[in-house]
Amino acid sequence: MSGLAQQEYFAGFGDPVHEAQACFRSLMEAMSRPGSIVEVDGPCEVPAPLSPVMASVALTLCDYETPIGLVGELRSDAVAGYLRFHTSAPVVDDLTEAAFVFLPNVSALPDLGTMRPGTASYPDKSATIVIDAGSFGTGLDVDLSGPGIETHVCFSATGLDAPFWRHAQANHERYPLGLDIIFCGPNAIAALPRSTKIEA
Amino acid sequence: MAETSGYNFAYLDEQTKRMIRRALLKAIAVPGYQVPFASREMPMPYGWGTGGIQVTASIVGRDDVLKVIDQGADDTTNAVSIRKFFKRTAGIETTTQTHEANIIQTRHRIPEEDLRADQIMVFQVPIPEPLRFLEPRETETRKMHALEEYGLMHVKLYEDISQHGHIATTYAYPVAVKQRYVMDPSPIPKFDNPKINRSPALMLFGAGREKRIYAVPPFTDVHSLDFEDFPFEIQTWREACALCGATGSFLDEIVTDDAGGRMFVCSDTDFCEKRREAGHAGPALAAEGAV
Repeated sequence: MSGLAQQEYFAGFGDPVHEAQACFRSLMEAMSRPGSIVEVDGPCEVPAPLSPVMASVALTLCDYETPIGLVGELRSDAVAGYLRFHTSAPVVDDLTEAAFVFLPNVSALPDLGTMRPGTASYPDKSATIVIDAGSFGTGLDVDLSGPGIETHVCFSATGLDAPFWRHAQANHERYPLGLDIIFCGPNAIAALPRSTKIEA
Repeated sequence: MAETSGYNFAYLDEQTKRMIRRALLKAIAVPGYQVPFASREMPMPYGWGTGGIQVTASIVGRDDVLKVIDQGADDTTNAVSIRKFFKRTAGIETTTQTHEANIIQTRHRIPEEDLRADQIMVFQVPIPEPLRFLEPRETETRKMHALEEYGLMHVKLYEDISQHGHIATTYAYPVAVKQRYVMDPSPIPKFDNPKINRSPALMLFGAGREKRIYAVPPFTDVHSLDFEDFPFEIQTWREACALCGATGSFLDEIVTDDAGGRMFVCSDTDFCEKRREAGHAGPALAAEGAV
């Protein structure tokens, strides 16, 4: 009964219209130039282990139309409560229903087959994975190419290891079906749409 | 101009913007694929660029500078009204100069000036489905895209050749994006098709009445459909622009009297004005100067 008093509350965007717009432009920049690192600001205080940048992505893109899946340590009442309160998005247990899947790190990545890749007629009906990647420029380097990339781009982030990149390349090979990935770092994001080819 | 009060920034409500933003991200992830979206009623009729306006309203921020062109011109009704609309509802700066703008909304042209990586093109699209005039059923065209079954489009281009001796399609010329989806580049002249191929700028397409959004990310291969023995060609003119003397730009033919008099002028008004300011003069201006 004392739950209400003990619960800690965190604010969303201070200026929802313009902060969401700025975050979206960063997301659009990242998605249209895969592998490039784009700055994003987030709300100052968010419930751990949600990062401010990941919170910003969720507040920008999620609402009652987008079921969200929370994996690993993000499956906490505090995080689910925060996202439910600020976005009205339903939090679902079954990842095949989720439009957005949030992961605290790459090792929490479930089998990619558990998330929806879209259908041949509607490849847009696919999930977007949002991963907290620690920091960029550390870890295994891979070579990205494809739409949005002039020639090649070298990309790495904490925890993105060879098995992850094998899964990501398998995801690319299903194009035009597949999942799109957004990596959240400290104060920045990068994206890996399904259209991007990955080479070690 | 005073900002209109009582509306959200850039007219659309936040939920609508989120829905369009999600569609835009998916459109960018699958270049050339038409993403369905819940197009809203706008305070202007369908056909006046409601798709482009909804896309612009969903991406625009306070620091953006907007340029709007209609058939290359900054001073036609559609372009002027849309610029005013965003000035009033978003209070943003607008321009007629291509190099000053970072969002360029367009109806039927791509500026002559080379686009930069920090610029975004927003196209107003009437019929987004390139196969629509060949197959009226949405259920069928969707299946054709899913199966990458584009034989019908090649038959159409072949019939052009058999009837006219060349591919007679001159605008809304179909392209293949990233060797996968066949896409309608909107009714731009085929002259502008090569500008989409591997452009450093992001290209977004919005069709309001047809409720579709699609995109071409920067540096994406965009191939205008053709045949080995009938390669894709763009329009050329024997004349130079009568006002600025440009020879490599897209020219509009203007009838000047009822005795067969005509002149050819650049369709891109900003490009033409810049050239004239730089001292270039076409035959019409040179003749005037001589008098």
